[in-house]
Amino acid sequence: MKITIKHIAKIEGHGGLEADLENGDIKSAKIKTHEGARLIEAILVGRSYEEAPLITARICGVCPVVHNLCSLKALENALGITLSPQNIILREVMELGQTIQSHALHAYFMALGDYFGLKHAFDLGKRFPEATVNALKIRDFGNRLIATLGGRSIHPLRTKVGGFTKLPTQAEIKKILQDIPRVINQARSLVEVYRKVKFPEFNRPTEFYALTDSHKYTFYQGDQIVSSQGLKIPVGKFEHDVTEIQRPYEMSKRAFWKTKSYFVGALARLHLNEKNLNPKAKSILKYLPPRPIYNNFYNIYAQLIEIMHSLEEVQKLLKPLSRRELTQPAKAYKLKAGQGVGAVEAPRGTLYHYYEIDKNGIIRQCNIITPTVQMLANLEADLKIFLKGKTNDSASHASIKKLIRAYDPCMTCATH
Amino acid sequence: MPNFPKKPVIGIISLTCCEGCQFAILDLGERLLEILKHYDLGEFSLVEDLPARPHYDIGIVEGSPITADDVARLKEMRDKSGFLIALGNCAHIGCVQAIKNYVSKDEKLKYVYSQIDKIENPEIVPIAHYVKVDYIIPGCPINNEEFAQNLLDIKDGKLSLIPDQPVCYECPLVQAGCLLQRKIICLGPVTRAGCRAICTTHGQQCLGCRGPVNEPNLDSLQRQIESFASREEYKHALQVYGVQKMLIDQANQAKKFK
Repeated sequence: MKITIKHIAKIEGHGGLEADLENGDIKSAKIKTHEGARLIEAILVGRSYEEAPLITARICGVCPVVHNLCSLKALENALGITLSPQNIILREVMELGQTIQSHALHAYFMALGDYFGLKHAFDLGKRFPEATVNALKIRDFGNRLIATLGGRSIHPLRTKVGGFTKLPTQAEIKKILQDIPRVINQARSLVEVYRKVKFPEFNRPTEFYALTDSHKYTFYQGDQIVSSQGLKIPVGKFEHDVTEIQRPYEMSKRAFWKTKSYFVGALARLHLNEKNLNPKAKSILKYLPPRPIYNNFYNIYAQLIEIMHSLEEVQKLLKPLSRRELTQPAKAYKLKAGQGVGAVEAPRGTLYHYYEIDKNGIIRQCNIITPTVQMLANLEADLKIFLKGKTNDSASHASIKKLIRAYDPCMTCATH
Repeated sequence: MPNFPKKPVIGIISLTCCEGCQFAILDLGERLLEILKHYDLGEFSLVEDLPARPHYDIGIVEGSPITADDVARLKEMRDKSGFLIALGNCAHIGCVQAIKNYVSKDEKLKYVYSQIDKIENPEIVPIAHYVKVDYIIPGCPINNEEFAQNLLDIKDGKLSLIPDQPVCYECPLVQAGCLLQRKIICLGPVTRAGCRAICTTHGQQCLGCRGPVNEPNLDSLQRQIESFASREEYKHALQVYGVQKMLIDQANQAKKFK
């Protein structure tokens, strides 16, 4: 028996599922990408390094900021540039803004309907009028954060190698700080909705990976990858240990650490960084089962926890910057040949960019490993168990789509 | 513009792209819900999982037709839409993926997929290459204020073309000293405004994402740019959002009519 879902709605990009079952045994379960190949890595080769942050932002419309910043981080590593502490904070805040807007969109508008039998995100407004308006406002706040620091929420404009073209004013930062307590309350109201969610039973042990930074639940800073098994690997080495597998007729690659599939994303970060969560985020951990949770349906609740954490973190990071007008948008630097890896935590997991540039700043090599490329093999391994007893009918399709959506795959990132 | 029913049915689909223009629509937030009260949202799979409808009064297409499936969906959308809108630079022109049109696209494919040779790798073209387009909402990403206004105008039956003015017309640097005068490549003089010069406002050059004005004086701009930059740098600037071919064609056409 074949189970075929041609298009999975309410995820980023176009993807489907093809599975083959024989007498109840699952022979294969494959996520199919229906995006065309844009060849972003290849088109950068032979062009100026300054174009990379701009062009790679266009990999993804829901997380352009993370591609933009990851690309800058890698290029700054290649050029030996260290950002000022102030500008590192501003970059971290942009990442947090991206996390807030992406998670609010996914955990609420794309995924939540699955748990209440709603097929249209706008119907959430009828079922949960207050929470839906709050989710919109939270997402809007994430966007405003990015726009205030980056000039625009989709495809930021103010970032550049060495820092920023322009900095936010003191008044703009104060306005953000003034708004945060209200947004935190809005996030709290969402917790009440998620408490009503019955997450399906599922269990398949896997390994979690995420970027780490000392004593911080990091999204931008840090150069080390940790795993739930206790591995600690520098970002540069990790990028080499990841094997990307190409399959015939399949635009999206699959990444394995050595030979194993693994999970990246909110639930992975939560397992690895839980003790560094901010207090309000920690206080809503109590609605989770004991860790480790080898059930990715909980990824959407982990995203909610991260929204709360990120709001608190923005508050913590921006407070010291609000005391005076910011100065020195960017550092001067000299062009030289070099190579550099950058890694950041995108909403969907660890993102890697690698560049090699020559002495004139022309890109000679480029490699980008996206979170979805890393999580797809893990999702397929989950599906190989989850599909047991499923058929090709609409009820089975609905429960399969629910699992796939909980992963929050981004097909446009997967293909790039 | 056709006469639309009282509550026109809208369908929004995407081909291969980053989907940023759809997110720009979502970013309108509560305002989007207000605007959509005048419409029947028939398809927008970013937020709904319902069967597609057989007819749309307004079909909106984002993205590049790259795969055979993209092309088929594009044609199907044209067939069932009364009025078809190209949304954003990918659908309008070709955006960053069109850079490969100006180099060896086979080599580029080999670089990313060294072990597979069955990946579709056509030249990147505007959707107008395959279907008739009735209206263009340009930009990378679109200016969602412009999108909101377009939908309100359609409802009131007064949709008009985007004014034929260059970005310089909206640029805050015109008085203070433009980028070109500071020897920074900028395509503002030949690019259609309506973005409120958002790039130059935030310290970036204009790279033409909204496409050419009706009569771009490209020769003059090229001379000015090549007085401080190489031809390769000039060409690369034209390629970032895939506008090179469209810009040159438009400039040549304008010359012919003079």
